[in-house]
Amino acid sequence: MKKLTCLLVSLFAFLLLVNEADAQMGKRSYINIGWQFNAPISNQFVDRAQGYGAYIQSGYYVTPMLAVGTFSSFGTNDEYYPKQTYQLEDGAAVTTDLYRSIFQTPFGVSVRMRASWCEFQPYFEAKIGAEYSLQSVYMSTFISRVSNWGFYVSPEIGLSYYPFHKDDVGFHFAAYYSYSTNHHDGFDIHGLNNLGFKLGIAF
Amino acid sequence: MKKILYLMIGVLVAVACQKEPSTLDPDNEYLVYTAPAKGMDFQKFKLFYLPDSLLVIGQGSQPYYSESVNAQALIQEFADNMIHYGYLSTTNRAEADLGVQLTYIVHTERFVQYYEHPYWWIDYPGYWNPNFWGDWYGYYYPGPMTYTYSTNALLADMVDLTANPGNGKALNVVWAAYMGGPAGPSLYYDVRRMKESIDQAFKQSTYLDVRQPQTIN
Repeated sequence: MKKLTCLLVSLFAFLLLVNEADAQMGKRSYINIGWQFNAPISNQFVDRAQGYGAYIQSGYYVTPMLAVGTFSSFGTNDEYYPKQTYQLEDGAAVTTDLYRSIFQTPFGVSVRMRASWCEFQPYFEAKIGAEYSLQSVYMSTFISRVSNWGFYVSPEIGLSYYPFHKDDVGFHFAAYYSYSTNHHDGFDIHGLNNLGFKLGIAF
Repeated sequence: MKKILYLMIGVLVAVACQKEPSTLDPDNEYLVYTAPAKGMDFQKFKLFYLPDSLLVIGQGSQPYYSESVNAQALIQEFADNMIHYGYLSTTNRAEADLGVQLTYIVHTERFVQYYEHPYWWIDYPGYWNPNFWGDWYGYYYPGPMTYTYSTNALLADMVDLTANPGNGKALNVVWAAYMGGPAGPSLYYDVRRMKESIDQAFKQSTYLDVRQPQTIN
């Protein structure tokens, strides 16, 4: 236990102090905003990748390499199921085509570690927060919808590219994995796993 | 830079809502829902009575019974499925084991929307020039744009007539079906879809089948 504590303290100190000796770190804050493409994985409800989403994330470099920040995003994935018959309780049955849809909107805090602060700024980021999700089934003129909250974690690797030397505007690209603990037995949802990427503008 | 940032945030907020699937039904077929009474054994039923009219709700201020060609087509389709499953039709209501009632429901929602310029056809090349009517410039439409959205459904109930009636006793519905969805472009089209839905309702309710299993000698 003592070794583990020592290791964690050392790691934290490293993150805080790494490259602290370098003099110029430029602008300390950042904002990334743009389009998000998301693919639910290991999901029986909807597993179709789609780009109906957007994100915004911001932060402040407390050291030249380490930033703390906040994030928020949203996205919808839906999937069409052609007509089939579903057996319900007590002999009831329904035949219809339908759409299933998952809307996810996570938000929370982040820690970002960038590898450099030059024109190209690759980084690794860890996010933690909460996710609100709506799961819907659209059948003809009916909608069956549930909502739930979950605990959210997401590692992300990305790149901020600032090609315009006299301006703070650049481009942002990132790839991520996310997991949230959202749960609903009726729709067979036991956690939401996602892979995706982001394209946007970096300030 | 701030302008771009505000613009991007504005765009993000503007689109920060759930994307809904298209309201157009992709396969243009009705949803068919059927439910039997719990634990019901349909083998005890043999004769069914099906009125020769269809109750219509939503067309006009009062419900009414229709004996139109379309109504007859739906009634006949239902009767054919009953007979196919081994029931016998009777015209004597008193001797029937099962009573069947069919109801057609139309529901129309009327939407009113205020667009800045909903009457797009005014700008269509070749549209009536107001000069045709004299020294006029342009058109003025006083009202907002309206549109309607209609759904229709066919309901079917089977009631148990074998039980003894009496004061305060409820009539047992032993099977219920709902067949409905967005209304189609014509009644002819909807009747065709409803006939297919009746077939589907029986297809997914195999417990209604009271035919004796065939034996091989």
